[in-house]
Amino acid sequence: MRPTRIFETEAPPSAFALSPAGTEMAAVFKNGKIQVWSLSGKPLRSWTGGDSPAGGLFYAGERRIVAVTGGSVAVFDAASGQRLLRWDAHARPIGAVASSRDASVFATASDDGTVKLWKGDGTLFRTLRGGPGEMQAVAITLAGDRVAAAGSDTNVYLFEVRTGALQHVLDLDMSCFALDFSPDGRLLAAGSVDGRVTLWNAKSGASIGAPGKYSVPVGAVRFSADGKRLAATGVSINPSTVETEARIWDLSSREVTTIPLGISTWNAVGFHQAAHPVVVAIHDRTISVWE
Amino acid sequence: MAFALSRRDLLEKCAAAGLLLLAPPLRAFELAPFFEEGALAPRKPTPVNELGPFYKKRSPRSTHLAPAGAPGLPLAVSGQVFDTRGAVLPGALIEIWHASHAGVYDNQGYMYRAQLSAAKKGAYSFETVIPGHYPDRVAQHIHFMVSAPGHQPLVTQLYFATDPAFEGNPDKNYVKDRIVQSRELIRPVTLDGGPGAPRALVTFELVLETA
Repeated sequence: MRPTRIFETEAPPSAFALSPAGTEMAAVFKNGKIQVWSLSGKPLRSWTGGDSPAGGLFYAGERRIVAVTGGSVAVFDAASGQRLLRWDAHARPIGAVASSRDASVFATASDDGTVKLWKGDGTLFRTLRGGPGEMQAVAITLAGDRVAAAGSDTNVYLFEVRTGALQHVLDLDMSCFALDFSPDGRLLAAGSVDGRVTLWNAKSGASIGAPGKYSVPVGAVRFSADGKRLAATGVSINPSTVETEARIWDLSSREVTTIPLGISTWNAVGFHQAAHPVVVAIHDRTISVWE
Repeated sequence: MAFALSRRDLLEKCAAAGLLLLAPPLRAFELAPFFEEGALAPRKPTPVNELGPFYKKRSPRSTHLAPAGAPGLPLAVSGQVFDTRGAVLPGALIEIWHASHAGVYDNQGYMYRAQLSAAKKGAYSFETVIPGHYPDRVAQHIHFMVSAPGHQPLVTQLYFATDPAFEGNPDKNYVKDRIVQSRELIRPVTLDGGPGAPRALVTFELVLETA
């Protein structure tokens, strides 16, 4: 399957994100510039309000873009690029940010070993801890009631947002960079460094099994809006020369669609208009899009 | 009896003054436990360092991490596990993992991964090869996670003073790797085994804090 679009960026992106609805994508460059494109690769808007050097980029709902630099967080209006908030969240670098659908709850996962929960105005209301090591990935249900955090100790910790209570510790062999709740909050998917994609019942903590396994680390996992399909991508790290692919599973039939991505050090996956898979793979300055 | 100098300082001072001659690879500070007369010498906790994304649970119990014939310079690491009071911690669980000579972690299997228990007097040792460099990490390193009942788990990394990344001056250049946050974790390397079959020897003391 060939990409539907291939285009070049001005420099290798430092970080990249696909909007939750799969309608647009954004990258941040080393100098703090943030660029938004349509799925066809048409530049839509850009601004330079990000801190430098940029470290990570995330959508918070459809209307907010979050950029992180070290331990600081900046929240932008996705339509205008106006910086709405900026605060120092952690003493050590932030690896991941997640938010509820309405961006009223943010979660930041940091190398300091904590996940912090913030109100939409940047007020801290909870600090969550797991085992030894760093927090690498984080996900929140769309309703904003539960948060999952992946530690480098390879456990996934499930917390209730309202109380901060630890509900389940999910045991994996290796750590995750990719976590996603199904839209109804019933399922949790994790993509591990050992290539395993694992599913749990997010309420009971019971494992539902592993729909698939890559030979490279998993870079992204995402449920479709109806929760019936799961998409995942592998990334070309360790070693950086290995080719990878995206897979989309039908969770009922377990039927799988595979899209070869070549070498891709950063990628994202989503579902456009709630149903059509979108895969974006980045290698150096080249962005390839499959719709 | 109280002494003005710790055993460790005394041995270092004697070695520097020529009062104590040490044949390689012996080093004065490593001999301190053998010169003690029952009293415990308090120790600083080993600096913590990032756990990183490549830890894997349930690694095999072994003291040989590299597969037979693996490329790279053979390496023997040894040391003792203590608490901060200076008491040895026999039975402490030591988990170790690192990249291959080519700088690649075995995420599908358990090459270059092992766990072992500290023996009597807290001693441990294992054999492997010097790890390679890889993108995103400047310095060669071996990861350690050490646990013992009643103590905080110690997560740290061992670095090599001979690493080309330090350009022969680890005091100045260790900051080139942003993850290396303590000069103490960079250990001297002794070579033995002769020109035909060189082997690197490194000692690394592990000191855990009480929980």
